[in-house]
Amino acid sequence: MSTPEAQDRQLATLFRESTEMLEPDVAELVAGGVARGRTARRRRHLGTALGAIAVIGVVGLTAGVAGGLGGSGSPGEVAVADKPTPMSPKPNVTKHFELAVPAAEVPDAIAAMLPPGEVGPPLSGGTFPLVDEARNKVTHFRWDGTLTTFIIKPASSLASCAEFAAADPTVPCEVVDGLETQINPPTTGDQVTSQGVSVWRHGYVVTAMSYNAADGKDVPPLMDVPPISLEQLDQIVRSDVWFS
Amino acid sequence: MPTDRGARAEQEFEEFAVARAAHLYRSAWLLCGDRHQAQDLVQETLAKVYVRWRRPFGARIDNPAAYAQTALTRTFLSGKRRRSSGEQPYADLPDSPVDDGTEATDVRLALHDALAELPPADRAVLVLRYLEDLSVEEVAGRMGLSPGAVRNRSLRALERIRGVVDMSLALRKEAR
Repeated sequence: MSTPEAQDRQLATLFRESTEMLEPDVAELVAGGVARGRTARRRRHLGTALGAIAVIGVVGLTAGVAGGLGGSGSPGEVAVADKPTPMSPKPNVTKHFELAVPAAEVPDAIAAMLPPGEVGPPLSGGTFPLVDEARNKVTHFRWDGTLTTFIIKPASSLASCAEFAAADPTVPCEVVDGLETQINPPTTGDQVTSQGVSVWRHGYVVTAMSYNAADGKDVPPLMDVPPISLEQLDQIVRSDVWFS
Repeated sequence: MPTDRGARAEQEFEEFAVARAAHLYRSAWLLCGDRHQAQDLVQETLAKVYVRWRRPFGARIDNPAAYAQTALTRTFLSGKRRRSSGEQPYADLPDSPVDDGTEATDVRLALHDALAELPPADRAVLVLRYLEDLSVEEVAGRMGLSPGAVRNRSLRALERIRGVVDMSLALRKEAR
């Protein structure tokens, strides 16, 4: 009788060898996937609710703030083109900002900005990777048991605010206090409601999301609405604490 | 009209899709047991990845291959739930195994039939465990189940396909 480990190996070999002979038409698969994806995107833009879109994808929407309103996606500090300020921009004095908070310390940093609540450790692995690169931070953690996501990415790596506002007019890009801002109101999909705020600042896009469940989709909500309000999320993403 | 960034994202997606489509198709084939359903499932999966990819953060999915595999599994399972009465046994074998030896072909046919007898979620557990080589915990995460539920499903499914595994094992011993 074979051991469970041997059976595992045998089954893995069996599965692999049984499918090796399959040679699909890759071009057809890709073309079909792209065509369906474009259709789905068009439907979204028309305001059609597509339950198939995972709530976690809302994170993407919030990043629409990336890019300049009037520019062609050049990264950097926001220029408020229609409101010239008395202080002229200083294009030759561009300060390079570093990210100051390690990804693992983001939960505590956010907790310090919020009323008392139960803050969990950063999640890692699977669908919740902990990314801690010099210019790229992604932290998922639980606040009062609900999923919270905080992301900072270089603006240069993302589409522009104008592009994404154009792609999804339901989430406009606004200039608030001199920063391009995109506010995602509560959106429900796959059982879970999420909301978030992104700002464009110092050449980065800073995003914070709050969910009303422990996961981004397909789990029962723990409360009616996400526990971190849009105002609090706005305060979080505008905080100076993220930069040095 | 696609922007430069949009065009670049589209190109990156297509490169990803070309690289992963065959692998996704193999998973889909084991799950669906039918070439056309597998093709449909892969295209639906790629469409979901595409939509996410074109979003700013979606364009930087940290592990696109894992994301796509999870999307495929969940799309398969949700499709089965929607068609609650539609769990069709594999009526035929549209993808005939390669004729590389009668016994080996028999094993593949037996596997195909055995998988068809399993509930969709059990089938998904086996595919993720043994084709994707994921741990119980990883499978649990992908399927939204507890690790205990994955273990139970895995044990139950293995019990039901044990005969196929034993046949395969015997063939290998003979071949040595």
